This record gives sequence, structure tokens and C-alpha cells, in this order.
Amino acid sequence: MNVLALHIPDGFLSLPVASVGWAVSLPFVIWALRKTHEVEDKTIPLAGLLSAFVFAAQTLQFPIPGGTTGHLVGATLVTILLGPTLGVVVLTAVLILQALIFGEGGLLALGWNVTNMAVVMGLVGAGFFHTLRRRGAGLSLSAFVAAWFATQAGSLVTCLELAAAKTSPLLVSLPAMFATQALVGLGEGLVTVFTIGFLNKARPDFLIEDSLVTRRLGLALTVAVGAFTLSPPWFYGLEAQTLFSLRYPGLLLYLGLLAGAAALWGLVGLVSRKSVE
Amino acid sequence: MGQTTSRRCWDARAVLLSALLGVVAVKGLHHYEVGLGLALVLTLSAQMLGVPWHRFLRRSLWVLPFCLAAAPLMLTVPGPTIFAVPGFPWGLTGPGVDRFLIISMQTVLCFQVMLFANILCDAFDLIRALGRLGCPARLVWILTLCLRYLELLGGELTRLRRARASRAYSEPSLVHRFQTTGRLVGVLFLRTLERAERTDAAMRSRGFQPQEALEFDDGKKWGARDFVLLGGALAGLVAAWVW
Repeated sequence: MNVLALHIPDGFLSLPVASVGWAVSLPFVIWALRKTHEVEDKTIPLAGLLSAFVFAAQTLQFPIPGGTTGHLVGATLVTILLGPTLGVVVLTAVLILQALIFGEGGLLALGWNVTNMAVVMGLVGAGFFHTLRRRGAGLSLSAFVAAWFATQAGSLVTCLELAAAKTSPLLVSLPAMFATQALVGLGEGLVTVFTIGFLNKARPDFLIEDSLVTRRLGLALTVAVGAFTLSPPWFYGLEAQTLFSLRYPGLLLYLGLLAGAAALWGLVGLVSRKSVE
Repeated sequence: MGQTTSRRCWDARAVLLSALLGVVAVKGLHHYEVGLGLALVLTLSAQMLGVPWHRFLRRSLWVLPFCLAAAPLMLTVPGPTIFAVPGFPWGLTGPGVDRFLIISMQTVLCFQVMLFANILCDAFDLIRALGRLGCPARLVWILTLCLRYLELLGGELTRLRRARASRAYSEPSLVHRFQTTGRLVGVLFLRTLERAERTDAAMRSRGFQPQEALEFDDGKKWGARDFVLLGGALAGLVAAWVW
């Protein structure tokens, strides 16, 4: 079992917080299911087998500094390869099975786990990837930045949810999570880069075209994560006297992430040699 | 995990609903002795259904590392300090330790409830029950296919890894390991796509029509034991939240 995983177990969230998670994730899942249904019926076997693929791929572990290992989440990879709708469906199916049969996550926490890993990580990652590609960034750099940033966005949202449930204070969880997930994100980014690089050589026809929906959703979710971080104190259920000290690191971290992403964006513009139409 | 004979006796819908009620009930538990009693009941019931008690307990402790995420509460929840290291700004507080232990207890118990549900019912039955309880049929089919092909694709990945390992002459560098992992994922992805196309063709040739085949009703009726199970879970829920 990997303790660096982002799955929130049952028992960590209060009922109201867990209900909000369900309310947030359900519209995305319903939207994704409807969209895949509109495309073609062939998506049932495809999505089923790809869910099994994600499951299998998540067993692959990679070393991270500190002597421990991380495993691929694959949210960005799957959403880049399959597009936002099928990506969300496949990741949701994986998370449901993990909660129901394999004991990772839980029934109550499923809503937030789907939001964190299928929606936020998947769409933010794919949104970043396509936006960077449009700006002329190379395939590898776009994939790496997208996967790394998506990992950080997922862990940030997880920390905020745990703080809202009064399970893990932001003051401690944010630095701890950020320290570990920044390293896990490196592994996630590298595996994503090599997978997409391989597929680009083996089946260049397969990489999903840039999609306006993905970019807009990715951008909207990035802004939503930011708004969540900056939301009023009572939203977290924190006491007034501890509020300032707890909100501060969250705000700083998020602004730092955005600044880092913007800097990378600028760097990409400088060093990129080819542009993607 | 459980014996096949015991698994057939229960309606998966009742098991699934009872598990959900059980998890919600556990969230209302704030007394250690009640939690311990519930853990004992679940462990003994598992033993009666053919799962050795030590195996059940060992499996249920897998979730404990996750509880570490709540450990800082011992230091940050305000209250009288019961232990402090000189020079360290924070100390263990009574309410903090209590809150951490309650969360850990609830986490382990929720996990045990789900483990127990998996003893009572086969995984495929649980998934089909989702369909009978109103989960979108499309999603249930995806879950079913995922579970069916999980072992196959897992085995394929293992074969790929063994083949790569047997071709290697020396310990790979860190970059090479990431590269290998990425390529493995890529190869597996392509093989999965090809298999999905073949599976789709095979299913259609056998008459699978997505619009017609999305039915999960096996005609099974609830027995007395299903009502007892659900009633027990409901009573537990009321007891936990009212008392």
C-alpha cells in the first residue's frame, strides 16, 4: 500500500463534507457519461478495458527520493490520450472499483476522490497540456508540466477538503503533502512524458486533438481551485484565531504554483522551436 | 475472500445498502468501547463465514498508514497539554489525541464494513447491484468489463516487465527506469486498445446490443436474511446517531 496516494479513506470526512463531494463530482460524471454515449456505442468495451489498463498501470511503481516509491495515478495521461469525457469516465470507473472492492478510498469519500483525481487532476492536466502545446511548447515539456501541475492541484484540493472536514490542519498537511507530492509529481511527469513520447512515435495518429472544451474546463478548474483556496474562512470551518495562520500557507502555495506555472509558460515561449497549429 | 456458498445467499443490493448505512453509522460513533464491540462483531462474523479472524484483522489494518494524515491533530487541537517536549512549540493535547483516535477508529471500522460486504457478496454481484439500484447501466457495464479484464491486463503487464528484465544486462539508471516504465505503459495502452476493438467485435458478433443488453435484473428476490441485514444496519445507524 502506498501511503503517498491521494485516496481519502472513509472516516476522514464528515457527512456534510462528503455530501458536498458527491454534489460536486456527480455533474461531471453525468456530463462525461452522456457525452461518451453520444459519440458511439463502441465506448463501453473500450472504456471497460481502458479502466483495467489504468488499474494495471497504477501498479507500476517508480523510485522517489527519500527511499520510498510512488505510483502512477495516470489521470493526466489518460485524459490527454482519451479526451476529457472518456478520461473522466475511465478514471471514475477505476475509483469506484477501488472503493467498492479493493478498499482504497471509500463509499462516502468517493465523491471527493472522483473530484480530486478524475476531474481536477485529469482536466487540469489535460487543459495545461493542450494550452502549452498551442503556445508552441514541445510534447515532452507540455506533458511533464501538465502532469506535475495536475498532481499538485490534486494534492492541494485534497488538503483543503481534509481541512474543511477538520481532519488534517492545513498548516501541517499543506507543507507535508506538497513536499511529498512535488517529488511524486516528478515521477508522474517523467512517466507521462515517456509514455506520450512512445505513443507519438508508435501511433502518431492516436494522440487526441486539441480540444477547446478541455482547455476551457482545465482553466475553469484551475481558477476554481484558486477560488477555493481564497474562499472565506468559514468555508473551511476554522476557528477565527487560527484562521489567518492556516489560510496563509494555502494562499502562498497556490500563488507560488501559479507563479511557477507562469514562469514555465514564459520559458516555454522562449525555448520552443516549433509551434503547433 | 469469503466462501462461495455463503456469498450466494445474500442479495447484493441489501449488502450494498447495508454497507452504506454501516459506514454512515460508523461516522456517528464516538465511543471506543462501542467501536471495539463492532470490530469484534464483524471479525467474529467473518470467522463464521469462513474467513479466519487473524486474516480479517490483518487486512483491516492495511488502512492504518492513511490515518497518519490525521496525526497532526494531536498537536493542533486546542486543549490541556498532556505531553510536551521542552523547546518545542506544540504539545500533545488531550482533545487532540482523542480526535485522532476517533478518526482512526472510524477509518478502520469503515474499512472493515466494506471488507465484510466483500465477504458476503461476490465483486461482480456488488457491481450488478449498483445497476439494480439505479446507477447508470453504461457505467455498470464499464465496471464489469474492467473487473473481468483486470487480471488479464495485469498478467500482460507482468509478462512485459519480465521480458524487459530478461533482456537487461545491468542495473538500469534512474532515467532508464522511468523511460522503461513509460514505454511499458505505452505498449500496454496500445495492446489494450487492440484488445478492446477485438472484444467489441466479438461481443457484437455474439449479439451484444448496448441499448438492449443494459439490464441487470436477475429476478432474485430479497430473503428474510437480507431484511435482517438491512434492518440491523439501519438499527445501528439510528443507535449511532441518536444515542
